[in-house]
Amino acid sequence: MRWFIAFRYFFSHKRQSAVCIAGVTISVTMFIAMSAMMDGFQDKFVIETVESSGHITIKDEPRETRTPILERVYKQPEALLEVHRVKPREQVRKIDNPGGLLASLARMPGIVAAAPAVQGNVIATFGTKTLNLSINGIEPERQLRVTTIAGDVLEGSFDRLRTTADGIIVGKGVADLLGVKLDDSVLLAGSEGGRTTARVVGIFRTGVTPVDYSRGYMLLNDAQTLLNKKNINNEIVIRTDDYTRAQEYATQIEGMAGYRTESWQEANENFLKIFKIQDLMTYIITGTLLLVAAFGVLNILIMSVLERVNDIAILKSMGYSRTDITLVYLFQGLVIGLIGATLGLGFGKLAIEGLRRIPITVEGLIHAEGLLMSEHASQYVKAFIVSNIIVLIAAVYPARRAAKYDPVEVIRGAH
Amino acid sequence: MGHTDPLLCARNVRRVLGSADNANEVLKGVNLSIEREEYVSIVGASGSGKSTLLYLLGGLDRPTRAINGRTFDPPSTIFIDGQDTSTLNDAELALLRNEKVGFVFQFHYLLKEFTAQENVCLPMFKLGKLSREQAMDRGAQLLKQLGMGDKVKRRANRLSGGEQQRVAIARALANEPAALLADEPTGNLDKKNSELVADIFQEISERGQTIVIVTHDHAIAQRAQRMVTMEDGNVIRDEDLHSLSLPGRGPG
Ligand SMILES: Nc1ncnc2c1ncn2[C@@H]1O[C@H](COP(=O)(O)OP(=O)(O)OP(=O)(O)O)[C@@H](O)[C@H]1O
Ligand SMILES: [Mg+2]
Repeated sequence: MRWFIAFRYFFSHKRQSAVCIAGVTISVTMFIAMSAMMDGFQDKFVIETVESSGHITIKDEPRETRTPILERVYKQPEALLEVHRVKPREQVRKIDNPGGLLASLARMPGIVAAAPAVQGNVIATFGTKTLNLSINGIEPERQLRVTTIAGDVLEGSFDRLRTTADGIIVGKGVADLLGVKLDDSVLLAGSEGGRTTARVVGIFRTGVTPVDYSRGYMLLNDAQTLLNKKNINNEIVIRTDDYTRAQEYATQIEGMAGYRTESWQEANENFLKIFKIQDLMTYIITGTLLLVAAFGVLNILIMSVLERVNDIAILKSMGYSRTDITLVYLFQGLVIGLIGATLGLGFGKLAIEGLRRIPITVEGLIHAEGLLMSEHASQYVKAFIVSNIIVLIAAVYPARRAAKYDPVEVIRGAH
Repeated sequence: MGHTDPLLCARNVRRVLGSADNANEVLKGVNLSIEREEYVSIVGASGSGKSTLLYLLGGLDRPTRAINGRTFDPPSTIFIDGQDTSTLNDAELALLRNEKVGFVFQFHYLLKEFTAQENVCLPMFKLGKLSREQAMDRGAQLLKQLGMGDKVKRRANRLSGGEQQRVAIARALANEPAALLADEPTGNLDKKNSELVADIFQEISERGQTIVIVTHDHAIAQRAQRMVTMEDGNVIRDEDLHSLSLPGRGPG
């Protein structure tokens, strides 16, 4: 009965109602399309990052700073200790006993594989061009188990790394910046004085721009020589059974290994922060649109109330309660919300499919062919529920105002 | 709610209207009982409190219970079908109105987006005793009885003034109310339509419907069985009109 009245009222303001519905539809459509685009982009970045760089990396930084030797002997904190002729010993940063650590990791639940590596920076020179290059020294078989880098090789092959002395696989961006092609020789100079001429045996593209523009892979031994880190591992790269739980595993590993252990989330904190801001922007833009639509709803419902003071009075005189009148107006808001949001879901879906078909190449933080649209049922649900709630809230004031009219006053006033 | 109680009863009813600093005592202790199947007219000068009393009798308004913190003795109270309305909250009073009272006002107050039939059905939809189809059937039937059989599906705003008032009467009768309360139902109608409405009231009264009508039209007031005259917030005369027209019954 309340629905019956609400519907009839709703249809007597077709044009204004249509405008309000359009407002809700547009904001829901925008939200769905924008968040699918943002999610597509972010998901791609995350997947490519964890696949190419591993889920977790153990670094060569000890978790606890070493206490000076004398303090270890004299435990009294008040003791005044004086040490003469201290010779600063050069601390070589490295992961001690990587073999033992790898064996322990192999026993940890949730850890799929681990690979030792050495990492360092060199200057690459080709012709007149130079570039800072981050060298990852790897053991190919083990590396294959923690990252998918072999699958990202565009030219050449990952296997040639093993068969070529001083072979290097560089990112597509690196190759472009230096102007090198497959089988070209690049001069590499390490900061510790090591230098070599490496032969480009492969060019890869992970799709993650910062990686593709800065990284090169060499055999562990070659890299150790170049970086002047003979027999040293300063990184262990780990793959887990669930990259979303990397942070949790990293904390466990850090406790076990005693070295700083970084999850991919930590390593990419800045990007994840930017993603949060992107998400926030999506919410602000679509939220503003929704707010405008809500004001439209508020407006037409107030108009509808003012126009129908007599109706409200007579309905009350025949026994309709305040609740009945409130619901008549809330239902009108709900009709607008439900129609608008439903249309928005449909148009959002269409927009996603349409955007997906646009043939463009994305070059930014990631490289992608076409716009990446990532649909989540939760986005549809969220958009539908939130838009209906907002519209309903907009209907509350007119509804309460309608319910407040005193029929006696209205009926007297008509004379 | 024994059937020995009067159908509507105002006991020492006071009503103060207006703001606190500009209070206006509109009813000054009215006592009035309306029995079942009575046809009562209320007359009196403009501003004497007729409408105010009618709204109170139908539970549309509530009597003033106290002035400056002082209650009255006996308490200013309205009983509808034996029910003390002061014990009901607003929603309960609304339900009581829905079930027991039908109002007709000077203006028809039809919902213009709805058909004549739908307007008549509104009280039945609220009551919920009849299914939608049954209510619609009854609505059409009521309209037919009031000579509107051919305009059942007509939108309310496309009816003439007299037709609209007949729809309003049908609507007031929809839930078979214990009392039909009409406040100047002919006040906005021409002579012909006024007569038609008066005839309708006469007819339904003869079928046993309790009616209270406030009117300025003396001819219509005279057609009731009983005429209550008000002046300045008081009932000053309560006449049994049968005693005038029907010899054999002594003055009450
Ligand atoms: N809100 C109000 N505040 C103060 N006084 C009011 C208010 N509403 C009505 N009154 C006064 O109450 C008195 C009774 O009003 P009521 O409508 O009951 O009179 P009535 O007998 O129906 O008159 P009429 O025949 O003109 O319809 C009037 O004097 C009117 O001025
Ligand atoms: Mg009046």
